[in-house]
Amino acid sequence: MGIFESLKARFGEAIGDAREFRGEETIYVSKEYLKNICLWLRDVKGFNFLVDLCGVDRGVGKTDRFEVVYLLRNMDTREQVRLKVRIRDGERVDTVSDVWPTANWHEREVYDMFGIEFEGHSNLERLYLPDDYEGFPLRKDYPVRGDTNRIFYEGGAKTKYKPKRNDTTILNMGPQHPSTHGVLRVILELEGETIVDACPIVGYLHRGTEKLAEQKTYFQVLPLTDRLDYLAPPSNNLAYILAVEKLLGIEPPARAKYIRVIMTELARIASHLIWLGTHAMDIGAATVFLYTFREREYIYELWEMVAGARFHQSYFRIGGVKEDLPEEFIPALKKFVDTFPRKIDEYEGLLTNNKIWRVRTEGVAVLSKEDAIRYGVTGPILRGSGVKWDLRKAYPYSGYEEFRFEIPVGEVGDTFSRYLVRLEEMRQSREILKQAVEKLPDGPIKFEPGKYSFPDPEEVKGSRANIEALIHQFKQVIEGVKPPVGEVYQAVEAPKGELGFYIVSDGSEKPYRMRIRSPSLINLQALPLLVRGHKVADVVTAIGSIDIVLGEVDK
Amino acid sequence: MYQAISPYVPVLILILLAVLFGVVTLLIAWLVRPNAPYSEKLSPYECGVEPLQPGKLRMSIRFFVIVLLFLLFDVEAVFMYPWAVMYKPLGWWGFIEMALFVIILFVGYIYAWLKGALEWE
Amino acid sequence: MLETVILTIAKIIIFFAVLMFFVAYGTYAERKVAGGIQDRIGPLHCGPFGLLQPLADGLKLFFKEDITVAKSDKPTYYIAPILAVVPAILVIAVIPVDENIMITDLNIALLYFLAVSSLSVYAIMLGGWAGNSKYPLLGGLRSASQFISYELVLGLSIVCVAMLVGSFSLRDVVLYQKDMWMVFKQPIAFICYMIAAIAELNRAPFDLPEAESELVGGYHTEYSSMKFAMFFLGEYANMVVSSAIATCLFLGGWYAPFSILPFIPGFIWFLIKTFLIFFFMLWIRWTYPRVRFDQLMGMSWKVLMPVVLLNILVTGFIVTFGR
Repeated sequence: MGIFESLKARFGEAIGDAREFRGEETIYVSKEYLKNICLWLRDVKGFNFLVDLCGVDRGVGKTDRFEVVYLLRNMDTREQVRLKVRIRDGERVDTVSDVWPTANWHEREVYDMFGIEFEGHSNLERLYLPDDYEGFPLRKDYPVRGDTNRIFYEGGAKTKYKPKRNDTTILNMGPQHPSTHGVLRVILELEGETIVDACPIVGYLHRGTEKLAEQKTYFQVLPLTDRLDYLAPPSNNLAYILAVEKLLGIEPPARAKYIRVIMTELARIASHLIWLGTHAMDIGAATVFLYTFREREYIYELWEMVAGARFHQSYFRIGGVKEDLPEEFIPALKKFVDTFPRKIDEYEGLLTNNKIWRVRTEGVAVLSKEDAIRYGVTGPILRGSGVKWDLRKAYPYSGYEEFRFEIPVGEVGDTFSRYLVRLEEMRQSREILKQAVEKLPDGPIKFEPGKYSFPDPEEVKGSRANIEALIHQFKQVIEGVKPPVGEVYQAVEAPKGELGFYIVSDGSEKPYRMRIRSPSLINLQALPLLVRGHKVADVVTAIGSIDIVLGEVDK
Repeated sequence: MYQAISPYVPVLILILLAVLFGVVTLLIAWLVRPNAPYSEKLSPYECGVEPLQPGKLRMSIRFFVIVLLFLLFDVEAVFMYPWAVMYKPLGWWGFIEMALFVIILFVGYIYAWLKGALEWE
Repeated sequence: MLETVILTIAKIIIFFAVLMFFVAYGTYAERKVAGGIQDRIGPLHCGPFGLLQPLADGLKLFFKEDITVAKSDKPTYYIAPILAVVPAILVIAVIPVDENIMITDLNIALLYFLAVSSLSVYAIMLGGWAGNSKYPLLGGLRSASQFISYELVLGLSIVCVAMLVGSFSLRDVVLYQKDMWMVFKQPIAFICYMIAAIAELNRAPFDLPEAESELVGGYHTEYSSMKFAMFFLGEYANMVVSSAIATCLFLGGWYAPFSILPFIPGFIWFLIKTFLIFFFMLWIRWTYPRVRFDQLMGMSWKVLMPVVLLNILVTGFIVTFGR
């Protein structure tokens, strides 16, 4: 019996109809029973993981104007189900933040962007935008350029923090602070040097990527995704492109898949190298930073060979990749694959058995297995807490099922476990690269070029010019691809965790709604849990250990 | 010739020189540097936002405990200096006396430890 | 009389110049050593091998705008930077560079060193307090507790040396080491002294008061221009004199190791040894992560204190009953 049937049997009228699109099940439920349904799904059906929660504005004139979308996952059976609640403008929905604590920030974001209020939420404030901001940007009737005649934010609005106790000191850390890894702000409540509570404040880098995406064609959205996790752009590109391909129902050729794997695994290594360098620097070991940047530089040179750009490549295309690999790339990559293990040993030599490193990381910022799942934490943090979960194995994409690699798992869930997990992940990525170089198949690099992506320039204006390619070029420039009506969620295992794109298509050339499930944001939510009772210095360790990147946190 | 003056006179001269060095350096800097203050520039550092509380903050009692401990042990350590210099002439009697002293010091130290004064929470 | 005073002043000025030279090129050494350890080059463009870099840095700081925080406590705000350099300069009065090259031979040189060097905590305390800002204040508080905790260990490890020598004169201490360096007789005291000295200097891995990653700049966050430079100068001057004192106490001062190469004058040996200890401090800084505050305090009170006290007892026992 499927989820829909058992829900129908248990809740009867509260369950609306169900839809299926590209293998994803969507069930409409009534808002009165939402909380009971969620509790039942969590406790009886084992849907212990809330992947995502977001809002959709169906349009100004519609009777049930808003949809709140819940994506649930059973981590044992790998089943996923999407619940939807439809409400009218002004109606309230029950909070699920007491069912899954991770929903707290999700619901604040939905409130921030759509103005949907959640009944029973503990602190329903704006997540990204300042408190004195007017309007809800992701509503369809909100102008894309905002209201330019008025200045909403004059600063200082988000300084209202109520201390938990009256004998404590408030210390403001960030947004201008050397070790919050960007413009993150954390308000610390201290007793001496011990942390009573921490309150992360995000939004200083909010660019409204989700709103911007609604104004652009599917292909034009791609460069926006580079700017999310700007330390690993290929991962973001891949997640987005896979989502669009799923929406279109196409598959790229094998060679393109392999090239994508190579690029994203390099991205994982590059991202982890930055993490290691900055994390060690936060703890005071400045030298590792320079070592990791040396290797990262090499990866950027590899990327430059392939994509022409070092930082924001935007190299993937719908149905493939932009160009084939240049000749010099494979030897250069082989060299990297051969030398890299020695470099990791070098970092480990400086840190792993270093007494000071051990006392600074062991037992610091511990996250238990249960809390990690409750808080929706993903990526190396989840694995560091002892959950063997990797999307590359759980829902293989882009040909990952053809590679042999291990999922490193930590035992304790402290900073040191996460450190070991990430180091091992770098080794495993190198293993994947090695296999990819050996097995790299020949063949085309695009699925039906011209139809889903720009045709070869030579065919448009060159020796092989033909009218068909010219028409394709014209069509691509004017409108790009037009996927069918539907909605998909596609996630990849990005270096920071589960990066997912939820795209709703209304059949036009632009996404009707694009939702980014950014791992950094959701992982960051667990920060207060990690640092309570620790020292000021451990906040820096914990932030470094979560490995956030603000471009992704603030979207 | 050399010992014609007290050995402390050079120290005095040095103190004068050291203070002079500090003052003159700051003075020169004051003469040559630019000066263009405005209120934001002069506000105390609080990571880019307006200070949430006045700068003089509540501090942990632990700091005072450390100071008290230091006073106790430092005063006792002071007794050791003259003893150390005269140690050889004092012979074994000096050793026993100081051993007793150190043992008493140790008892106080262990007491402080057991009371949790050495724990930083 | 007058001649003696003039001679003394000349000596003081030479010593002072040498100290300042060491400080300036200490910063250069720091950057070059860090560069070497971190697989890069370090300063290169100011003069040959970047040798003029310290001068350029100094000049730059002279011409930097000075920002005096509003509502700061003005007198303390101005006194703190001066206090940061004065103690380090005062210590050079008692350092014997060679058997007969020193500014003055105080018979209480070690006590003088302890007394004067503990003054530098005031600079950090007052500097942290004066800025009317939280980060410097937290840095200052940390520094004060760190400083006094390690002051005890430092003082007690010197007691171990004084017991053997029977004098507080640094000259006597070095003369005592003619045949065998103190480091072989008092290895534990040497280790304790080095740890305490690095901790008192606020150098990595004990640089908590100015831990960049948590407290941004620590006690000198609110200082800029030459006032900041004074703190910087004070730190390096303290490093140099601490290395020099360690050389006198444990490494046989001006004596050549195992009496080799006797033609090299003693003061050269002294400078070489001082530089080696200085280099050791740089080496540690660029290799180790930073310890946490509670761990730092715990190490002083729970590990080093009992160790050094026991060392005193054992030393006493051996001196009395071992002969």
